[in-house]
Amino acid sequence: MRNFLTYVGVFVTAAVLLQLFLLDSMRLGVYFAPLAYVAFIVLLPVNTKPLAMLFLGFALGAFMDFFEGTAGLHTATTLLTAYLRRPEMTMILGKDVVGQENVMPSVKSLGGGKFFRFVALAVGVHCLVFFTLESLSWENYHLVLLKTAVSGVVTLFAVWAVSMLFTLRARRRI
Amino acid sequence: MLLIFLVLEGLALHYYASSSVHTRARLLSVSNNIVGGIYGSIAGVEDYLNLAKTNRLLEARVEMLENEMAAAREYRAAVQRDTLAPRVDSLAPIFPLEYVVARVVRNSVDKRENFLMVDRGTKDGVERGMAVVSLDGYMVGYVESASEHNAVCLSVLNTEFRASGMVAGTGQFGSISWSGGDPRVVALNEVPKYTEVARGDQIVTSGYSFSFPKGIHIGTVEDFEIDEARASYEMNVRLGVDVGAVRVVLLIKNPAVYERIKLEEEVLGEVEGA
Repeated sequence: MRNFLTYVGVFVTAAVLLQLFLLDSMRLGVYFAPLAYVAFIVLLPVNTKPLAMLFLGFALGAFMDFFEGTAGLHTATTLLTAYLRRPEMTMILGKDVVGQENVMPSVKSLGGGKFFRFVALAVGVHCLVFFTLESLSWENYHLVLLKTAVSGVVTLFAVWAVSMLFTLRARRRI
Repeated sequence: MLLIFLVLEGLALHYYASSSVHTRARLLSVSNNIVGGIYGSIAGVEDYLNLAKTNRLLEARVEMLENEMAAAREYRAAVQRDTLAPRVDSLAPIFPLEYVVARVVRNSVDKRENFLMVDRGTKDGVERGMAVVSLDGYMVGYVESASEHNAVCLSVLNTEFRASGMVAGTGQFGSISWSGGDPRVVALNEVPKYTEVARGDQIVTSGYSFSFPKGIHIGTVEDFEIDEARASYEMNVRLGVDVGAVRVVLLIKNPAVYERIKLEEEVLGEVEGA
């Protein structure tokens, strides 16, 4: 139950407060388009079942599509990110970590190096797929790559900030 | 598991690929009914921080309108003295323009398809197809979808945006579009190559497109080359307005245009119904 509430908190923080209200209100040029909402998928407990991942990815994507008027674009990308999360984790963190119960990925639980490598991979793929699908052409692809780089770094930072916020809170409660 | 993923992914991609810009604007219009109020509050803070700039724009506009009023009064007085001149009533335009002033509550520049959301809707007389113009008179977009209390406008910075632009003073026109790159530059293509064009020339709306009355400022010619195959210019036009920073807009209704849209919708409806 506490876990459930924590993740409702992560969802509201990442998707609503951070993405819809803060980052979407900042207009810092065409390359600044962070996708911080993906923190919800990236930060789910490491042992989340693949089916649950898909379902949550679909729900988060549909939520973002509704509020950003993108009709399927966020859903398609987030589904892929959710589907790829387990293989990505197994690759970077190893099988034994993926099996642990109720562990939210964070610098504390995984160690800084592994955490940032995992988040960078997940966020990088998410941003690259999203901006490629958005532009729907190979023309001027270097602009898509630039947008992925700029927005990806900001997103990475946002995911780290959300994980910090929720691991700090958990510590204080104990 | 892979199968479930592929089915859901296919659904999402299909929905994305088959949706039109109007569907997406409708979607925003619906969701904006839920979060529009919060965006309004956020925009309120931004408005407050921009008060000085907005005031200057308003002062400039008042000055311009006062000057136009003075000229119009003088003209009316002259016409009234001259009893042989046509009656003053007949000087009224056949299709008068209607204006609605609206605040921008949500706006973006970082997407391929950028929309502006404004805090006026059908209740205030906003309708699909109205032109969206900044306070200093520059083209910003047009209304794509209006609900009761808000409206979603297609920004110039939307790859689906099209308008007819004219090189001021020449009468030669072409098509305005945005490529998704620089948010301060749009393309003007299809202007015939025999037109005289120089860097810095003013570009205004031609009055031939869907929404815009004639003569609304767009920007200035930044550079150009001639496409010999099409015998026309490919120009880059520097926008006169920073679309991302627009806080207040004028929505202009041109009834002639509006009637054309309604007619088109009716005809399309009949075609689809048949």
